[in-house]
Amino acid sequence: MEHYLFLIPLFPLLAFAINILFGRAFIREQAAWIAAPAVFISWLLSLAVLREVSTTGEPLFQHLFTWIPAGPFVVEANLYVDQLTAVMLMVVTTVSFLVHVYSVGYMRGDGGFYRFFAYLPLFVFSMLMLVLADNFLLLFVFWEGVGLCSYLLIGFWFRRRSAIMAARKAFVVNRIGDVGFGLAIMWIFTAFGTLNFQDVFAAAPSATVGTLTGISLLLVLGACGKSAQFPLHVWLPDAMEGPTPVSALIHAATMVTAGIYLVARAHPIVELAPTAMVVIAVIGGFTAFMAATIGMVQNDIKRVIAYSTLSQLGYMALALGVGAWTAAIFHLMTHAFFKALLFLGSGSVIHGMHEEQDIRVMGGLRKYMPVTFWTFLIASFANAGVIPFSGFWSKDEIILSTWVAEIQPLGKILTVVAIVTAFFTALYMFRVVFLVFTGKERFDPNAVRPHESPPSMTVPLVLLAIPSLLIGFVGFPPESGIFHRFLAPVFNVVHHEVVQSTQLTIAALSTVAAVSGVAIAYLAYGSRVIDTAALARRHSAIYSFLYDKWRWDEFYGRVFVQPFTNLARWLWKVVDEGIIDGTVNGVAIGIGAISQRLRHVQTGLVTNYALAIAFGMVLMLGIYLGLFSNFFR
Amino acid sequence: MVNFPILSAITFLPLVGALIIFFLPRASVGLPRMAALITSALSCVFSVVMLIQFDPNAPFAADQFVPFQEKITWSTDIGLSYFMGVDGIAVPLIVLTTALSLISVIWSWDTVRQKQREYFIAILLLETGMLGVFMALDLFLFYIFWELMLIPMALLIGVWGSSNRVYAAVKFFLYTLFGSLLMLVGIVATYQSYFNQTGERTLNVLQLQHGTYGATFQFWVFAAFLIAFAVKVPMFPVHTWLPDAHTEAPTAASVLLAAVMLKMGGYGMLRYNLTLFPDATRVWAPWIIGLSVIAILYGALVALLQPDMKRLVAYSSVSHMGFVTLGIFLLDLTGMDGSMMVMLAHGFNTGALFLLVGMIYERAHTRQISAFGGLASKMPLYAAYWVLFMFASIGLPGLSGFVGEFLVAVATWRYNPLLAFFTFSVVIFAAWYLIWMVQRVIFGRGHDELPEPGDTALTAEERAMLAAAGIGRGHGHGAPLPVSGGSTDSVDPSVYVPADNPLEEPEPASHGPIWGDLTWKEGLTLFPLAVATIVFGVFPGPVFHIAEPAFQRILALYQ
Repeated sequence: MEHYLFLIPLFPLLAFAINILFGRAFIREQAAWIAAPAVFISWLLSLAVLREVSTTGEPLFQHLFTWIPAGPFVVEANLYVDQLTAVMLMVVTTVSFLVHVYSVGYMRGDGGFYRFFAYLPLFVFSMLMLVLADNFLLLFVFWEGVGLCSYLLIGFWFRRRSAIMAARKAFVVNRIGDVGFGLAIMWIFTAFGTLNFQDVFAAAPSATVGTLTGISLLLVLGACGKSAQFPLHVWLPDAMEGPTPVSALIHAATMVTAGIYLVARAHPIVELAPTAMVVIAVIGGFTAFMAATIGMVQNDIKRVIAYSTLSQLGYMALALGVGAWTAAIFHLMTHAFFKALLFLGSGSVIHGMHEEQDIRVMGGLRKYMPVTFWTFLIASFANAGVIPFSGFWSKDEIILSTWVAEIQPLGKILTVVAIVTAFFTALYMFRVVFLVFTGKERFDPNAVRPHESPPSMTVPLVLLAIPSLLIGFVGFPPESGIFHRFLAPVFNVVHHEVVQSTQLTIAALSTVAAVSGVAIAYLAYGSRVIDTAALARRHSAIYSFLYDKWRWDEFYGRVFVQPFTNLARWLWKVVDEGIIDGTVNGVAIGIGAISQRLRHVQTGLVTNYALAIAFGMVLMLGIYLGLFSNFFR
Repeated sequence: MVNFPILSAITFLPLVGALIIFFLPRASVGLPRMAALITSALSCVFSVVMLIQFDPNAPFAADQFVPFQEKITWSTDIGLSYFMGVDGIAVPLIVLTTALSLISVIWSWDTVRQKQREYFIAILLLETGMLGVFMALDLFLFYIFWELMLIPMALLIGVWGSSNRVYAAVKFFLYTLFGSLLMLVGIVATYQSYFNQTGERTLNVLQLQHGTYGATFQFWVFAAFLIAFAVKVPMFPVHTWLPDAHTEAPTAASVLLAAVMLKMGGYGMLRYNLTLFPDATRVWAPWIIGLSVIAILYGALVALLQPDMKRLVAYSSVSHMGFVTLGIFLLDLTGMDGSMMVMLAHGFNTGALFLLVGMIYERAHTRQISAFGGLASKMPLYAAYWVLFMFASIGLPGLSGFVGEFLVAVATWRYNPLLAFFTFSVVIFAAWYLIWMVQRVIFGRGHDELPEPGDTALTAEERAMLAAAGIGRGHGHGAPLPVSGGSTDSVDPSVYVPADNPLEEPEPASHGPIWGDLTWKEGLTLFPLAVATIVFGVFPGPVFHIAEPAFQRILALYQ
């Protein structure tokens, strides 16, 4: 029963091929009818796979073909499904299908409708292959493949310079991470002689800690690129230039979690490299905190949610860093649902507000778009980590794991950071909720008539609201829910022996942080007891620092982009045109000057030429006879 | 098939075509290109037949039967023979040559209007020369073919090129001639040394391999061959002819130059330097590896700021070809497999990029990046090909460019991890320069179009343009767009209407560019390359299957 695995990615691939080849000329507005059913079939098949894996408990495997047989470097194209892959398949296909349905409404009338429904299944194909790959290089192929789709979809509205610049930034910044990932693959192959996951993991304990740490750090660099962790986080907020369904699917729910998936997949290597674990934990904690602070002051609804994504990915990285693999994947799953819902909800708002994205000019939208409001509210509670919404369970588990982690006192410090971040999370999330949905309308009701979105958009919102609300219970009770038992064969769970009181204290603390965040957001943006404008004026240095996103873009521009550009100019103008070409041309001019003198030999008299020819022939004959023959010997 | 001289047929069919064109009456307009098409197509078909019949594991040595060998002894006294034969290194490159020559002829069908006869004669002579280089196993014959291809290429640049063509042609000619004269010295020296050892005069390269040459001799003769091939590759720092030659050459010549001629350097190193002088190879290898890594990064960085599309692609060639020399001199099977793959992939991808630049040059008569913008709305199919070959060229996995570069990088890691880091980090710069160029040319807006209202990175000037056209976008007011995000696939016709005369339909000005999408002939040149770049990205296996036995024969010298 394992030979059907290839069908899961095949259908989206076919949908891509059909729409890209025939979409512009023939299919046009019907493109969604090709793409959405294809992804639905993938979803059904993933369901079957999940069933099979959970009943048998054995991984599934399918050999496709040998991709690279280059001497000793052999890479197979094989599909592999274990419990981790099964979870990822479900997350990817579920969110993908709902986003496809949503996009039918959202993208209606767009000139690039067929293109959109070609790129989107291409992304689904790449993402499915990414989680199905059974070796590092195949994973890398589709790692780049989802990067390609991300590039194409961020730059979907290619006539906007802002969009196409964001697309380039995303691709180039990701490439920095990809270099790390690629080098990790080279190192793995050199150290283990294979790239197959199971073989590498089996051999990992015999390698030196130095090798494992090096490999792990390079993998983490790759993960930082794809999952937008500091210092490679700068591309994700700009990626919001893409259509909102893309932000929901690629830049929130699925692609950006690929880095988390990679490290979780490679955990048998990473957990043997304590230094690398510390690095991941610190990066994750820092990113979570930094992004949350930036998110509090942004005014573009999608940017706020984008920084929220950065922050939540930071939590996942933190979980990886403290070895809480299951918690990381748990948060990955709950986050996929509620963050996709947040993005689709904000898309519904943007749609209903005629392309307005600035939350300062919204307000009171609750009565215009009730479905959007209620679903958005559920997702906001989940993101803020309020009990019993799904985000609470996964986030609580991460914080608890950090508190009891082996790395101390770092674990305690990071726990504090995580709880503070949880407070900020609730604050920025409910800032959006209050500013957008409650209070007075701050737009001109005559110019803009907000309206609820069509059913093709609201139905996916409702369907996503259900898991956002309930999916957390698969992880209950903490560290021994269904979810943990299911993933136990993949991650040898370290069951923390935590005293009940610690568990409850942590849960209480994170709840208090979340609830107080909501409360303060209400005081500032709901009832307006706190004057935020005055606050911003009083602390304008901090405010503008946060508003300018900690000025990383400017910093990178000055430290990397500008020096490399200058180096390029120097190499081109000074080295290439000056030194090398100067030398060549100089020699040519020198020879030219000599031939000016030799020109006088060209007398035009045939007799002179005849003499020269005869002389030359005698000379050549002489050289031949003298040096290369036995004539004179 | 043993008796049919298929190698000679492949090689000399284009020459026959050239002769036919030469003897055609001057008045016949359509016939020269027809003759060129038929002969180069036949040559291509024969090369595919050869590819199918080729057995990679067949022996390839002086005392054994070489597959498809054709040998006519000219003179036993001085050891001269007409000796052609192929191994797994030559076969893929020969098919690449015939295929790209055919594509070049199709490209030139309508685009060459001046001196058509002479043009096609030059192209066909060039093809014969290139094919001969890959097949000749007699050093003298090899040298003849090597020089034969130099002259038509110089003429193609010098006669059919653009503004600064004579400088470029002379530079190309002198650079290459300098290299090949040194190689001639090397050939004579090897010939003489072998004679001194054995008393036998031969130029048969398979036989010369059996000679034992002294270390000093090897060092210097290796250098003589190396310089000839290094100029062709081109390796840093003898690459500066390439940007000029590429920029000035007519499109088809650029394509053949990039896709085929550069590979002669790599091929020559594999066939002559590595097999004749193993001791010198070991001495020289670290230096060549170092220069290759420099070339890889240097080419990419210099490409970054080029304002001319062809120059940009030319410098990217320097970078890509660095992988070829690197892969060869690592003396590692994986590396050699990689450099073979890079040679083929660079043939498809860079060939296609030059075709794409040529297509836009035909329409706009400029290659300056700054002259363009927003072509994707006007020429969607053209834009799609650009994006495909851009990603193939920057080494996106799944397309042909990735496999070779990654294999070379893997082999480099085994040689020295730090060098592998420098080598592999080029993928960042490759993405930077190519995506940046495509962004400016293909995406965004044309100079005659209004900016997009949804653009959040508008300059004040652009905002003013929009306001003047009555399309504003303040906060929540202004003309709403009819759809989410706005329709971007085509230019709104209203945007095209000149402001001073709003009722007049915009007509394509007779002197200005006419932005038609690809013609079917243009599509015919790109489509096979697109298929090739995808197929070899997904199924590179056959290339290794064919080439590996040949590499193993070479590497056996280094065990």
